[in-house]
Amino acid sequence: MILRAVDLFKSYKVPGGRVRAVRGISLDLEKGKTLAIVGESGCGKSTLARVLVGLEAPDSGTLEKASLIPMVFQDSLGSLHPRRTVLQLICEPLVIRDGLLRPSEAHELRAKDLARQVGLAIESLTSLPHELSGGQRQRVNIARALALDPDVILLDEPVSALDVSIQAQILNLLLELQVSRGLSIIFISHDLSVVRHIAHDVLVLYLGSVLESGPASEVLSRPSHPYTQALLASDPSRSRRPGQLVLKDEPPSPLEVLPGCSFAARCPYVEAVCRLEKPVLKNVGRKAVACFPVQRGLQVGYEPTPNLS
Amino acid sequence: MKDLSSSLEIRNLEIRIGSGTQVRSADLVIEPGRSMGVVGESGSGKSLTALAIMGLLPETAKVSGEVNWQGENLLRASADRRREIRGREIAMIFQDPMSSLNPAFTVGFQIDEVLKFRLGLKSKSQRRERALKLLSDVGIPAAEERLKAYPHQLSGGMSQRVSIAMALAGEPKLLIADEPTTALDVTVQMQILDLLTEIKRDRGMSMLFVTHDLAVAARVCDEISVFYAGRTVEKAAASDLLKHPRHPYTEALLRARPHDSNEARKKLFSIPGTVPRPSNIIKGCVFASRCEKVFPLCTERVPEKFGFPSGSADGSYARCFLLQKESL
Ligand SMILES: Nc1ncnc2c1ncn2[C@@H]1O[C@H](COP(=O)(O)OP(=O)(O)O)[C@@H](O)[C@H]1O
Ligand SMILES: Nc1ncnc2c1ncn2[C@@H]1O[C@H](COP(=O)(O)OP(=O)(O)O)[C@@H](O)[C@H]1O
Ligand SMILES: [Mg+2]
Ligand SMILES: [Mg+2]
Repeated sequence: MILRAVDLFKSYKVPGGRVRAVRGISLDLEKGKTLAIVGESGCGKSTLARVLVGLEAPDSGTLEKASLIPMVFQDSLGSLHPRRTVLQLICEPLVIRDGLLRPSEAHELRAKDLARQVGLAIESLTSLPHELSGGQRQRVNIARALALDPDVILLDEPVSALDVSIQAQILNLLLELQVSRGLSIIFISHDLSVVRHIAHDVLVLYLGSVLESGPASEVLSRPSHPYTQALLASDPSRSRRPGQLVLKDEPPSPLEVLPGCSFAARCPYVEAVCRLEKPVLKNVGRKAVACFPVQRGLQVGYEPTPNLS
Repeated sequence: MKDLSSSLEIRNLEIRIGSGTQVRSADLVIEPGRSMGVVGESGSGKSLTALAIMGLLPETAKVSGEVNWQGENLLRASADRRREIRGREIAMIFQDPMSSLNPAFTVGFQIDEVLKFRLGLKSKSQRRERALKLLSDVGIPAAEERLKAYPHQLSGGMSQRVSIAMALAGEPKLLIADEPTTALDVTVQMQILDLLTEIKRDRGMSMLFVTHDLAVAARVCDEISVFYAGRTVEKAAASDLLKHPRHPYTEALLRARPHDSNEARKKLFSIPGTVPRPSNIIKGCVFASRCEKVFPLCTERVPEKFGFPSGSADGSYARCFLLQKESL
């Protein structure tokens, strides 16, 4: 186990109350594997990410990790100093580690090697961030994340802002790096087709808690939780089945803390118990599902239609 | 005679801003009551084409070609005439709904302004009734309450619904939607796509739907035009385009997406190279530099529109010499 989190909570004080962004999340990440975190915006993906990498402390819960976890963000430009060259940017983590002011010769050699590994051409080493395309900048960010040889990296929507053709290049790069370095990856995304392709395991988040988790092939091909089904059914690249679940409205305010299942308000299978008690994750086949009707044997039997056909 | 009551025809539209050519040659035909998707990667000239229809390009833009609206070339129309058409005959919504909403005024006030000035409705009670109807048409519950809300009090999905209501207030014949769901969650995106489909059908409106996502376009559009580097490279019926892409670029776009049938974690197809910039002068096909199937002619001449199935009259075409080769 390269990373283990148990019962993490994180909330923020805001005018009018407390946003409980992460509400009791546990997860395990194994060496060389990719764990994807999916869910609608505001469900707590980025908050969980910041807690996992140590940018923020959890309110409670425990976190065991083997090494530091560098993070790559969706906004490829935001994390790059605008007046530093690609070479300087890749050297930066090394320079900081060694407490220096400027890169040493060894740093530059290492940075050049990293640039090669992430597919950046030699000519781009002298470029400034704004001179690069979004895809190239994301390569720089990945090179920086790898500079200190971490066992795990976390990427928060790394390809969401990229065009499809470039997205495929970056996903291929991550897959290669995973194999060549035995890298473990935490991958946050809202694109379920992407997640299905690159992840080994998936956590489906809703209002700060996990509703379903398990192997990507299981969760995304035979979803059990009504929410997972609805998410898949909303993928525009899948044709709709007659009578299939269509989610109405948007997730409720994260400020309100209701008893019961957080998805109850939008769930077509809701029962009295769902509004009273909060379901915990229980094993259902090879997955863990937090849903009373499903745990009791409800099978909605939804299987996603193949994408883009 | 052809019904011109709400058709749009764009021919050879070229847009140059500064030293580059941002739109090299856009072609679009939208028949009354039909929806056309404009699909392409970022920078392919989709938004500029949409803005050219609206007459909202920067003043420094040099525009040539034709934008015919009901038989009238808008590129030659006066500023007054264009203002008359804007909002009243052709309306537009954007990726960021806030760009059509003023943060300082309530939703009710803003819809009322449109009804008063654009539609010329004099009676206050009539306008209020119409505003309530518009909000309920776009699926906003508790419309009375929402009229009093300020834009920032609404979620992303709700603000997009309000901006759609504002666009509909002038009873346009053509709605241009530029990436209206790109900033939304998939679940909300689906709701907005359903809403647009319904509105278009109920009102017999035409729609121009701009998106970078082929699957999204196929959801809401009858036909799709694919843009690459400022040129329309293919046009076909939406379902046909996804099943049988004719232009190698369209095919590449589809292949680069992870499919369920791909083996997990195996290398995805990706398009080598990068998109040409507006400053690049391109003699032949815009996609030639990245095309797997390129042959000498492709870099020498701009491919004309080859219709398919060959000789068909439905207006499907691809600008690719391969189609010409096949038909020989
Ligand atoms: N620093 C913060 N202060 C207050 N609220 C926050 C902060 N960060 C996140 N939140 C809130 O926590 C919830 C989860 O946010 P986030 O983790 O960013 O979700 P996601 O990444 O899934 O979109 C949201 O309601 C968000 O508004
Ligand atoms: N106001 C402008 N001035 C100069 N160049 C522009 C302007 N607006 C867009 N462009 C450029 O024109 C090209 C096409 O832009 P756009 O129509 O916005 O593309 P799309 O909507 O397909 O992403 C891009 O290269 C873009 O950078
Ligand atoms: Mg986030
Ligand atoms: Mg655009």
